[in-house]
Amino acid sequence: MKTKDINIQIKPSKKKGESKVSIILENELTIFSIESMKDKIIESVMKYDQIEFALKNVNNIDITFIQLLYSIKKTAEELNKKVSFDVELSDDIKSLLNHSDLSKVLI
Amino acid sequence: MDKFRNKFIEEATDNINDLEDALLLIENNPEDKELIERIFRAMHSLKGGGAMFGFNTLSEFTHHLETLYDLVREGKYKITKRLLDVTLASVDHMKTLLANDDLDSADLRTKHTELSLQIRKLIDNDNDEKQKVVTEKPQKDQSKVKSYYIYFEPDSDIFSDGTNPLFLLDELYTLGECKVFAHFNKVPEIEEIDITKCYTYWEILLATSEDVNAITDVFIFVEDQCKLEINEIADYDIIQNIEVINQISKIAEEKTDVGVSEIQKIIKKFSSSKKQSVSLDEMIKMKGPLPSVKENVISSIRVSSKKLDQLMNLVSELVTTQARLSLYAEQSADSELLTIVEDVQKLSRQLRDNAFDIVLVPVETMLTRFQRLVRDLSKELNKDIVFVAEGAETELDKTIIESLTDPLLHILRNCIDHGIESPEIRSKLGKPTQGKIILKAFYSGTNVHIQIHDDGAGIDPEKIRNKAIQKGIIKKDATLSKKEILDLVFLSGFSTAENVTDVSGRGVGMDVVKRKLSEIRGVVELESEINDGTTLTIKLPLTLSIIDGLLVKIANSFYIIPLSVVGKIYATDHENVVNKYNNLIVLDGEQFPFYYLREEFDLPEGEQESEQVIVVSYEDRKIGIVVDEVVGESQAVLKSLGKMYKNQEIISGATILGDGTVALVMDTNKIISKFSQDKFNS
Repeated sequence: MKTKDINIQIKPSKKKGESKVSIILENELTIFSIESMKDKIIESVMKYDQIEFALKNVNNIDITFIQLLYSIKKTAEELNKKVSFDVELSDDIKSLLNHSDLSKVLI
Repeated sequence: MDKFRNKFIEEATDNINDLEDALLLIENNPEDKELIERIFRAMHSLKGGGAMFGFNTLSEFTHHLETLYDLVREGKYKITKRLLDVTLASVDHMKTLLANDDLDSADLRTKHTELSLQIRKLIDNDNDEKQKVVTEKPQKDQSKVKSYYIYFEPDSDIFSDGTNPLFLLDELYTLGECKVFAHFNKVPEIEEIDITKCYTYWEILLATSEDVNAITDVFIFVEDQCKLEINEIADYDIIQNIEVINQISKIAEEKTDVGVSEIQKIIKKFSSSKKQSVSLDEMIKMKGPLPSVKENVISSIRVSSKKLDQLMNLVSELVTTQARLSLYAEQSADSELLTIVEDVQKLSRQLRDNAFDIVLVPVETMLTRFQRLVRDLSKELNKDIVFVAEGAETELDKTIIESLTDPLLHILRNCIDHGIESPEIRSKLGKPTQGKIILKAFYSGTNVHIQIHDDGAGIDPEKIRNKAIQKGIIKKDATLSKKEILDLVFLSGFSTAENVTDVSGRGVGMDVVKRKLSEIRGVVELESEINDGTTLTIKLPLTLSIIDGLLVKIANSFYIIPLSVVGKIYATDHENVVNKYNNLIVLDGEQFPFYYLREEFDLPEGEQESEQVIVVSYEDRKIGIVVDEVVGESQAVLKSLGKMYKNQEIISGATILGDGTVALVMDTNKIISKFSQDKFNS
């Protein structure tokens, strides 16, 4: 069985004096792939004041990923950091997240 | 995450096996609702786990099957032979998908498409109207709609077995209108989060015309993995009441939980409808005990075979070390040490028995494959055969079970192909047209016997004899008993099948069966009567690794004879056993054939005045084995002799005694059969 990995790109803002990072996440955002990228994300959350998540070409998303995003938001709030989301999801995934009231985390 | 995937594969294999088992059972009990539920449950778990662990093809494939069996569950589709044929073929395909979910080969892709089409056809063509009922959301009869409050809090480790709670919430939407409130207050900050845990829980409002049982059914597979409460809160659809929903949503955003009592207050405030909650007693009456509170009692756990093998190895080493300790204590003559050693000996014996017990597996674990073989092969050969198993609860060492499956499959193939006649022939012979194969397992002393009996044509000894002469295996004038003639079928290259088929009769088989069974110290016996059928009996030891033995000495070497075969021990004068041309001895007024092992092992004649005759069981006879000295009882941890000695048969292994000396473990059956053959040939 092929392992469907997550694709992650971390792009810090090049503007001088701006503490901002864009984290682009693609493909498989599930329990299997989170472990491998969790530390990278934490590092960015701790390092920058503004964190912008972009979820693109998502094949699959599960609750573990949503919980991680929620946890990031919670920590960021404590540290007075700003977290925002730019989300592109298929109708199926949207429906699953809406039905479980998880989509509110991505706002 | 590989450990989770591996765990899923293990559990999916169990689910597929369970599914296959249930399908074979339902063939004879098509109305059995429990079996239908079992089938549905296995499919549901495979679908959910498959999606969760990236086995998307498996998940999607199972989803279609599940749709089909949902119709069966609802009584809208009957269990038919065609349905079972397609499902069983799908079960085989699911086993393949578990190993190759990416459909790597063209053959696999073709098979996948064909089966998916067949399933689709069964759903669409045969049940055109009924399918609509399943795929469409149930139409609400407003007069019957009730509202429920559901509290669903999965256990934190719910992901470990592949459960995805989101699918359950999604499924609730098929029952009616839903309003779901997710709570994240238990999600820790990022430094503390464990991504494998579930921290989220939900409060749900559901308006449905389905009863509470239908709601409970959604959570049926996680009932012991979550906290679940279901309360009826209104006898109408409260989700249509915007004021109520807004108020509840507001509290859900502000507070952690809303709670059923708060919701009831809101309903009371905004509506005049009376709350109709179902009392616990009523719920229990309807559904049995509610799965709302998980009992913290774990009745069984899953342990990997490797760990069990390690446990058995450690126990074996303990037994060897304990023997050394006992010897040392005896030599030291320290009474306190001796007492402690006796206690240790007692404990290690109990530990050994306990460890043995853990690795015992019931025979029934093999039966599904056998039932499936009989079903498929008899159909292919146009025969009508029923397979019956007796004593399926009989347990054997897991290593023995693993090694036993293939030989038994071959034996069964022979029964179906060569044993049982076609219905026409059976009818002409006055037999019932349906043939019968019985597998019987039972304990016999410290052994387990497995018998496979078919009521087929039986084996013609004359045919066997002629074939053996033709192949040069025996001489034309050889005098052989019926049993000896039947045993010829176990010789390499022997086959009496007139037409070699794909199924059996390639001339390899029964010799391999016998060899494979010998490797697990199994003995095969064959009995057959023309037109009455054939019975093949396999005698197996309960376990392979440690045996209780009798330690004996011949010349300067030590040997172990398994206690399970030892009857009595007699002392006799030296002259009674030497130079006896007929090898018979009278003991306690009874005559026994005997083998003087010094002579058989080509050792010089001993000088001792008396010898020890150990009477052992051999087939249905008692035979004496003469040794120099009986040392005593000993627990023998069996070690393999290694490649150098793999071709000898009479010694089944070796063991290390307390003082480090090696003792060889005798296979008395092989010793007697070899030396009697040698005498016969000379």
